[in-house]
Amino acid sequence: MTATPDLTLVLTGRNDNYGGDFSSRFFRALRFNHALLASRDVAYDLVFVEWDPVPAQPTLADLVRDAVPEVRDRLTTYVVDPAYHDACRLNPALAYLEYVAKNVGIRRAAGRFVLATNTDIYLSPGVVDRLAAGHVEPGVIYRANRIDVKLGADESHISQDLLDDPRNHAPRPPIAPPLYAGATGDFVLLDRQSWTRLRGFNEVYRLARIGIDHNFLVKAFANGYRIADLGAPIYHVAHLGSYQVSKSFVRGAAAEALWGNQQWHSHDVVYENPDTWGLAEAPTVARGPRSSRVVFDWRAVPPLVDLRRVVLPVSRLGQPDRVT
Amino acid sequence: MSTHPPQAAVRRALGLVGLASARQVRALQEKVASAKRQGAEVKGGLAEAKRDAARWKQKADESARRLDKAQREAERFKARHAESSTLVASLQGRLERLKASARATALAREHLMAIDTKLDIVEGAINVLDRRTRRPAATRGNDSRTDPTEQAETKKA
Repeated sequence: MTATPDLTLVLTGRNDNYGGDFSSRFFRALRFNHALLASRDVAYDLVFVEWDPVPAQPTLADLVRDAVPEVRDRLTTYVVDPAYHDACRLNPALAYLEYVAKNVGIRRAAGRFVLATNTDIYLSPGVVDRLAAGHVEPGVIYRANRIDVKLGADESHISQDLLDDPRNHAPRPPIAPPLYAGATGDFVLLDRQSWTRLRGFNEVYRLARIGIDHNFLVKAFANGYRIADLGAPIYHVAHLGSYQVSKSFVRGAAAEALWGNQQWHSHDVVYENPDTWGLAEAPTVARGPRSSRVVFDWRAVPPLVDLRRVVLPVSRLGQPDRVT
Repeated sequence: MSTHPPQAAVRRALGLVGLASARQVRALQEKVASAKRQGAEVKGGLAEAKRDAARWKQKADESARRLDKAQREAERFKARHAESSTLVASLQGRLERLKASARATALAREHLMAIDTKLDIVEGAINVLDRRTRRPAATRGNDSRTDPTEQAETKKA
């Protein structure tokens, strides 16, 4: 491992069996991605943020070290005090503040480029080749088309052949300019300095999980950042609880818990996070090698209401209209 | 000096008494015939020229009529053009006003969405504060004072 890795993967999760067999899906994807990245000698590390850990359950942060020992030296974990979830959320029904959690990881990432992704995403050789070759520019947000492997597919022996075979795919529309939106939370690659300039994902509107990823693209585009398709796909094995599968039948309180307010104006209204985004002022204490606990402190909690940070995206000369 | 002095003398003598030689007569007859032919040709040409003149006159009359008609059409088109220009100017004005209205509507919509988003946040904050207020109040009092929603959630948990 070099002192400054070329790439940091930021992941978040907790041991709550989200979507069924969450930890197995996480470990499987992590093994796969590590093998791919290591085979191309990509200097990368991992940041895993365990947000609102489940009481009386071992943390994924600990389990993953034993389950995927090959990544142990590359892995840094942050276990965030559950009090932050209660203090931060503006929607009492919302079960997980995924993007505040990701911001915790992004803020603490060391890589020159930071990939905010999800625990059950499989990278492709094309993506990793591009990263290995250094064919990525600072100031450009890279997106990747997500290929969905059909719901109920046997995941016990995931291989590149299985992922590539169109017979296993469920149809979904490809990403398109100018925003290249669609399953954005699964793949947002950007250099660390640009993440810092943009101050991460929206943590002003803490009432929803859905749309926060798209909202980031709207903000970045309005700030003059170019968004590009990396040109190679990522894969996701469909599961219960994923938005694509569940949006049609999960309703009411369950939907509110999973995604929060689905009707918010994520395509039209953006944000200006405070300097302290990503719980920057939260104290941390070591809980093991490369593992920290983010200790609760009210001073690190963003204000409940800071309305001047709700802003409108702007258009720029020479840029196409934002298509939402 | 003449090369045929006797013939010339004869011609002169005949000329003195008003007579001409046969040769001279034939030459004159030929000239007269030629003049007649030319006269006939000129007459034919004149008739043709007269017909042409009549045709041209007819064409000129027709052209004058068409010109007159075209001028009237031009006047009509000019008038219609003026009307159209006024209409176009009026439509352009309306279009500009429509564009301005559309832009104002879009701006208003954006502001409404921003306000809606802010209201979401304010409402969320009120809900959060409400829960934070009820929790210590409930712990101070008996369970019957606890928020029923929280009671249900506690049971579920």
